[in-house]
Amino acid sequence: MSVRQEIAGFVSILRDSWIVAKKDLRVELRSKEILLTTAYFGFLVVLVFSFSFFYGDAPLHAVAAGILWVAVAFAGTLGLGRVFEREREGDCIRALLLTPIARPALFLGKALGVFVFMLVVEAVVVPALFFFFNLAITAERAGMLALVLLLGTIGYSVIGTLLASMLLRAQTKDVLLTIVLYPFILPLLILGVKATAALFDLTGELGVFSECVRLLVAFDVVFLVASLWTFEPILVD
Amino acid sequence: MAPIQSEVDFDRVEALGVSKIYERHRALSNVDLRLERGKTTALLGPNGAGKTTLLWLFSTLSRPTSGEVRFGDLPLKRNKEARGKIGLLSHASLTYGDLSGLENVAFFARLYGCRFPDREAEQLLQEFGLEDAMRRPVKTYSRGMLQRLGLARAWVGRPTLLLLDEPFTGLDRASTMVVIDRIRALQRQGTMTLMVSHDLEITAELADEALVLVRGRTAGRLTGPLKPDTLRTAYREMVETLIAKRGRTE
Amino acid sequence: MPNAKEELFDTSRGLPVPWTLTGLSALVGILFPICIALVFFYAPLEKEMGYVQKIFYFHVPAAWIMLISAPVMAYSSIAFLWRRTDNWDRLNDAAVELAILFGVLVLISGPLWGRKAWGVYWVWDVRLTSSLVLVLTLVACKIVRAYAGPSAKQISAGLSVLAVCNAVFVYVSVDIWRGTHPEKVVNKSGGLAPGMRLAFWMCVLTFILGYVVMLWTRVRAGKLRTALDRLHMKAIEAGLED
Repeated sequence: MSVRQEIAGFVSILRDSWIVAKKDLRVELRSKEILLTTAYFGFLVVLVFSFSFFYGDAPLHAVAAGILWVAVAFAGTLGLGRVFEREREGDCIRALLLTPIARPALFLGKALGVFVFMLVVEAVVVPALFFFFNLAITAERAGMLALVLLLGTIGYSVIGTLLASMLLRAQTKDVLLTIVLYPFILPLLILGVKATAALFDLTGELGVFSECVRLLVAFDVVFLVASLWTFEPILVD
Repeated sequence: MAPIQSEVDFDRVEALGVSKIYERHRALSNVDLRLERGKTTALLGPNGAGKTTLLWLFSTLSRPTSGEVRFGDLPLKRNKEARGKIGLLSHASLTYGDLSGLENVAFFARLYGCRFPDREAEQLLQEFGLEDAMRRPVKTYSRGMLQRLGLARAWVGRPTLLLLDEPFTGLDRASTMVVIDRIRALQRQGTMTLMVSHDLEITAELADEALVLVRGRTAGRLTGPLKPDTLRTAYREMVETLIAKRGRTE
Repeated sequence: MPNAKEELFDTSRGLPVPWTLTGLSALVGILFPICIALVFFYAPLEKEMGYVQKIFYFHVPAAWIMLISAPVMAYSSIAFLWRRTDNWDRLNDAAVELAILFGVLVLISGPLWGRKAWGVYWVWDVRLTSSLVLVLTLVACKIVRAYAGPSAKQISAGLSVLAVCNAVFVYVSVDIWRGTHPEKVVNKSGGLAPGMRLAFWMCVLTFILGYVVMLWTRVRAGKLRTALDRLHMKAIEAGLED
């Protein structure tokens, strides 16, 4: 295959995945069901954990980073389940699979949709966390926090999309998804929490942060490639 | 991986000795079937006969355990490229309830690489008699409208092979007739159709030939113009003799 | 689903046991009691740890087996996804199951060791943590294999590759997460007394041979299972059974 064809193929994959993601976002804008429920759930998780970690009259700052990532992970699972349930209602997934678009485009499209949903959830969870924990942050560190969240969310939506599409036809997929997903996102959580904790500790050094970010990037790349490679055979029986 | 070229086309689809095995259950056993342009083939048989399994083998989304499905002269390895030329109408709507009919069809038109997806969708919906409802969310559609929408959606890729998986269940007589008329019109344009239906009357109306399956095996073939009553007696004979034969061996 | 095209074996004659497998099994059968004798009666008693130190002779070989099974899983699953031959899938399934088995051994014996050595059952040691996560992800593989439907084989093959990648990432990230590097188990007892050394290496040898025997047997069991499925199907078709 010539280089030009390769490029054309790559461009059309990006274009098709954007069409798929845009469809997911449009459906969501109509019903608003996933965003409202998951963002509200994320908010509740932050609240519940804040109560659990009250010490004296203020919650412990040290746990804020952990709570942030737990809230994101929990809310993400909720959203993932729904995003794929929508494809199953009305058997739309079959219609999608019959379209001539390349499988990686379908995968990227779904992952992109999940990614955007999770960013919205984070936009609710992070302010809630800062509010309840009386956290302060510099502008520079806020940008770094955004970077970590972005990297973590990319990895999460890639793995989540892969596993959710694997379990699309399983009977008890909601339960299965959670028990299969969490072991796989553990490194993400560890790295995310560690990097975030370093950011929240305003007196601390940021050496750990950059190390975590490098690993997160590596994690995202490895799992994105592995997912694109294993997605193709998954949906054909 | 390049997108699938739309040049892929075929004038016949053949299943050659296909079997499909799930764990310890053989859903299909050595079945041959040939589909040709302009012809409609029906799959008949009692529940669990393997009709839907066979239909799915023709969709490329499921692969036979042994035997092969050939799309014209396309090499087996490139079978999946034929999927852009396969339309599917099933008992499920295959559309998103929160989107309007127009948005649904336009979405699929985009994925099929249509240059003016919105205009194309509008034309298709008008053609299938949905112009008044096309801006309403699909979840407000009646069953008959849904099936017409489904047909418009299936027609987006100008399929050479149209698969009908029990599309008439829960459809009243009037809507059924409308959908049948549409399918007939598509047939005249040279589509080959493979249908699964419980309803012998609809089958007789639509199909040119039928393959009767019992327990994953070919029980018989019916050709020539199919009439409801002759179809019914022939079908009954085939199924009953096969079941009777099984009864004796047991 | 069994691959009908695959050449199996003559089911009327059964699947013969090769002499190498018989010999290996016998060898493991002989070596294992010798190992136990060496560990408990030959190797000297460690001063600080006492009898608990004997865990070491089983914990470390089990952990090494886990390490060995990672490339076996990765290789077999990639080979399966590439070639789509059922034997690679059987090997992959066997390797996953054995990695879970030995992983559980590691996870039981590790804390017992830790209780005596550090006073706590669980430390977030990189090795222990990544073993735990590897076992969890492999359990996920088995679950998916059981419930994912028709393409379960491909999916669990893909997942086992991901599981290995994941374990590597856990290994690296726990290192950062902990901040301090806890003392590595093997380094601590680095200076093995000569008596201990013999017992230890005998255990390692026996574990590896045992692993090979189990892997082999499990692959054969998978083959027999396919053959049984086919016979069952033939029986259904002949009208003997439903």
